[in-house]
Amino acid sequence: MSELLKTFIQESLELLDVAETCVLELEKECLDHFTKDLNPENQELVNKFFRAIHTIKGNSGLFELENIKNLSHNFENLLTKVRDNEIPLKRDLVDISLLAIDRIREMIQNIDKIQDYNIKDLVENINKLLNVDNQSEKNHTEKNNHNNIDLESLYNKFIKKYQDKIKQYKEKLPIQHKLFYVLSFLEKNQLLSEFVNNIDRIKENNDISLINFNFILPSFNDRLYFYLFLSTEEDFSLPFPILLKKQIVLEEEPREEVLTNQKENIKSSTNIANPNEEESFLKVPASLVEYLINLAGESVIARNEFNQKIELLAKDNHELINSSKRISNYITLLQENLMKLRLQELNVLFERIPRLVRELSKETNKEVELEIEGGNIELDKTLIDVIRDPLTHLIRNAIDHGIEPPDMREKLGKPKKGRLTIKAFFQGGNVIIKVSDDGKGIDTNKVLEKAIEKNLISKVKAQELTKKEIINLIFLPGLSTAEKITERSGRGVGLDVVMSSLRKIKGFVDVQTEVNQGTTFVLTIPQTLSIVTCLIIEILNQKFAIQQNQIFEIIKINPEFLSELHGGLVYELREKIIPIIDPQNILKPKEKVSISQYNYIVFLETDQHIFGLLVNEILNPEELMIKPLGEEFHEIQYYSGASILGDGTTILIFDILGLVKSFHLESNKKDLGFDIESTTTQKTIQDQYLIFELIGNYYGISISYKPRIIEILNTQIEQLLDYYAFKYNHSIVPIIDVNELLLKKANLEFFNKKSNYGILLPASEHEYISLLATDIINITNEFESFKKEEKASFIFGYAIYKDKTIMLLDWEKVLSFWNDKKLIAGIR
Amino acid sequence: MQVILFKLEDKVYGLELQYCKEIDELKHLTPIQYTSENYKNYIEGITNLRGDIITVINLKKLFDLKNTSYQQNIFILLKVKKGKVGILIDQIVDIVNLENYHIDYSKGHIESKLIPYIKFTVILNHKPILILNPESF
Repeated sequence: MSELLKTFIQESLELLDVAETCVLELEKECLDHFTKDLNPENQELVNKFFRAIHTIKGNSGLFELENIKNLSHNFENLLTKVRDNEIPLKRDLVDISLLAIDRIREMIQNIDKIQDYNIKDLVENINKLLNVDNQSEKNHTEKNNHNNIDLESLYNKFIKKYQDKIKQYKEKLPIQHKLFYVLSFLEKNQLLSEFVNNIDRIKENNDISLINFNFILPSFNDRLYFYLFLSTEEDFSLPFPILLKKQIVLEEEPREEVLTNQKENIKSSTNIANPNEEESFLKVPASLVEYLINLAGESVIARNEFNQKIELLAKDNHELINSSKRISNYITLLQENLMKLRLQELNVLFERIPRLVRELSKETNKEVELEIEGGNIELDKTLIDVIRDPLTHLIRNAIDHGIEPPDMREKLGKPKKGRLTIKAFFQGGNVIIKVSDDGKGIDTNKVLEKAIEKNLISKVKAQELTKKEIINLIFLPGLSTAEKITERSGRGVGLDVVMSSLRKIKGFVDVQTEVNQGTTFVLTIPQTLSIVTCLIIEILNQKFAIQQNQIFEIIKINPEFLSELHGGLVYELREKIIPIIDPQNILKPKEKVSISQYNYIVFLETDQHIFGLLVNEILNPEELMIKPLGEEFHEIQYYSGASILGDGTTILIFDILGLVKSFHLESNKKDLGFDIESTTTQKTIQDQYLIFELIGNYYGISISYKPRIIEILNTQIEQLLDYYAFKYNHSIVPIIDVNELLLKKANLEFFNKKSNYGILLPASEHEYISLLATDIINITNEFESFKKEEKASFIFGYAIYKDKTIMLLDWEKVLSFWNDKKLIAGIR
Repeated sequence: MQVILFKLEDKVYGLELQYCKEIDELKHLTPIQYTSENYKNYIEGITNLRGDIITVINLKKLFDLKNTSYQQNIFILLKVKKGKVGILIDQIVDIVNLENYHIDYSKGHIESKLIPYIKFTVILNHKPILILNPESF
C-alpha cells in the first residue's frame, strides 16, 4: 500500500469521526424545532460536517475509489440542502447520515475489497430525501456546471499568476527532484473536487503530467489548503515525507481573487475559526517515540549516577557543579516532555460513546440520558488502547442489563429516561473511570444461583460468601445473569475480559451496586508513565521506593497509638483506626524483629483504601525509571517494577494496589470520611491542629485542610521571582515562610539545616502551596488555653500547648493573600 | 556443540555455550521473596547489569544443596527466550566440545521435580554430567 493511500485512509477515518460527532451533536440540537432555519451554531456544525464529507469525496476521487466517491457525492448533495435550509434536519436524515458514515468507514477500512460493497440502497435512500424538492436540485446542477466551466480558466489564471513563484521554488529545490509546486487555496466548496475531477483535461492543456498530490488539512474548521504537486514524468515516486518537508505556503492574497465568484455562497459563519491559533502537527511513527522515551529514561539513570559521582569528586568546584546541574535539569525537562508525546486525551475514547449509546438505546427501546465528564484527562496511548474494549463492554452492559425499559421505570417511580454517567478523574496517581447507571442493580441471589448452576462455585462455599464476594463473582468467566442471550451482551463473556484487561495494565475493577438504585463500575488505571517521583524508604536494611503521589501522609510512630487487633496491626491516626502492614510479612526475614524497631509509618492511599506501612527510615525522594520485573515474578503482587538508583543498585517499587489485594484489605476510605472534600472549615478549637515549628516560632493549622507533611531537601528549593519554591510531582509548589508573612522577619536560617519539612496544602484542585516548617511537633486539640485574636489578619487566635504559644493560622486568609500577591522580579 | 562446565560446591554441571553471554561479578543483589513457599524459590532477586534488570538464580536452592551461599560473587549471564537471567556459580571448570561424546536424553536417573530443568546428560571421563535447560528457569 502506498504511503499516500495510507495517509488517505487515516485522514478519512479522522474526518468520519468528525462527521459523526457533528451528526450526533446536530441531532441533540435540532430535532425539537426542525421547522425553523438552522441557527448560526448549527450552521457551523453542518458546515463542518459538509467539509468532512466533501474532503473524503475529493480524496477518494484521486484514488479512483468510485464507490466512496459516489456515495459521498450524493451524501454531499443532501448536506448542501440541509445547509441551505431546504431540507429540515429530522430523525430520518440523522439515521441515514449515520448509515452512510458507517458504510464509508467500512469501505475505507476494507479498501482492498472495495468493489464488493454495494451502495445502491443508501444512494436511493438519500435521493428519496433529496427528491422532496426537485426544483432546487435542478438549480444546483446548473450551479455545478457553472463551476466546471470556470475551472480551466481559473487554473490558467493561477499558473500565470504564480509563474515567478514556481520558477523560484524550482530553483531552490534539489535538482534530482525536478519538482515544482503549484499551490492553490480553495475555499470549502465544490471547487476542490471538481478541480480534481477535471484534472485530466487541465493536464492535457498544460503539457504537464500529474504525478503526485496531497491534501493537508491544517484545521477542519478553517478553509482547505490544497497543495498540488506537479512534476515531470521521469522522477516518479517521491516519498511522502519529502513532500511534507517541502511544503511551501504562499501568502493569503490569492484567496481573495480566486474565490470572488464563490463568495456569495459562503455564509459568514466560517469566520469563527481563527487561523492564527492553529498548531502545526507532525505524524511520527510510534516506535520512534518509544525509542526516544527509552533513551531519555536511560539518560535519567545515567544522570543520577553521574550526579552522585560529581558530588563526591567536585567538592568545591562550583563551575563543574553548576554545569552538571544544568545538564541535569535539561535531561529532566527533555524526559518530561517526551513522555507527553505518548499522552492522549480520554476524549479519543469518549467521543465514540454518544454514538454507541444512541444505537444501543434504539435497539433496546430504552431511553438513556448520557453524561460524560473528564474527557480532557490524559493517559498514555498504550493504556487507552487497552481500556477501549472494557469501556465499551461496560456501557453495553449498563444499557442492556442495567437500565430498565421506560414503562418499568415509570412503575418503579424512576424518571422515564435512564441515566448513564461516565466520569474520569485523577486520584492517588491513578486515573479513575466510573461508569454508573441508575438501573436495576445486580441481584446477588441471582448471581449466586447462576454461579452454582454453572458449577463455578460449590453450594457449601456459596453460603460463606459476603455480599461483596458474591458481586465479584460476576467477573468469573462464563457467568451471566441475563435471562436471554442477546446480540449485544449476556453471553457470559465480557466482564472477565474487562477484569483481565485491567489486570494486564496493573489496574483494577470494582463494582458498587444497590438493587433498583443502579450499578457503578470503577476502573482504576495506574498512570504508568515510566518515570515517576518516588520516595525512597528503608525497611530492614533494604531500600524500597513508593510512588510519591500514592503517599497520603508520613508520621513518626507514637507507640501508644500502635496496637494489635485480631492478629493485625492498627494505628490510631487522629481518632481513626487505620490498618497497618508489617513489612516482615512481605520480606519474610529469617529472624523476626519487634515492631518497636520501626520509626515511621507511611500512609498510602488508593481510590478506596487507606493503610499504613511500617518503615525504618525515610530517605530522599528520587526520580526513578520504572522497569518491569521479569515474567517469573508475576506471581508476586507486591511490586509494580524495579528501578536503578544512582549508585547502580536495584530497588523495588511497591505496588499499592497489589499490597491491598495481597493483604485482603477492605475498602475503608469512605467509612473513615477521608474521601470527603474539606467542607467544614469552621475554625473552632474543637478541630485538630497540626503544630509545627519554624525557627523558634510555633504555628498551628487545622487538619480539616488536609495538610500533608513531606520532607524538602535544601537542594530542591529554588528561588523564583521573590518567593521560594520546590518541585513536587512535576509541579511547582510555592513555599510560604510564615515568619516572613506574619512577623516580617525574613531569614534564611532554615537553609542551615540539610532538610526541612513542607506542609502541603491544597490551593486549588490541582495545585499545592507549602508552608515551611523546621520541625513537626504534633497533631492535637488538647490545648491548655485559647485566646481569640481579632486584630491580626492571618491568625485567628493563640493557644498554649506544652508551654509553647501556638499561633493558629487562618489558612483561607493566607491563601487569598498569596493569590492576590503581586510578584516582583527578584533583584540581586 | 560446546558446553560450559561449572561447579556448584564440588558438583559439576553444564550449560550449552549458545545460551551464555558473559561471566560477570555480582556487585549487589536486591532480594525478592516469594509469596508461596515452593514456587520458584530458587530465584534469589534482581541485579543491575549496565542498566538492565537481571533476574538472579540460585541453583543450589533448586538442587537442594546444604549450603546455599557461594565462595565468590560471579554469575553466568544467560540469554533465554523470555529475557536475561544470571545464575550464580562457584567456579568455572572448562569449555568442552561434545562432538565425540555420548549424549543421553533419557531422564530415568533424574529426580522428577528436576526433569524440566535438565536437557540431557553427557559422560565425560566416566562421570555423568547434567546439562541444564535454561529455558525453564
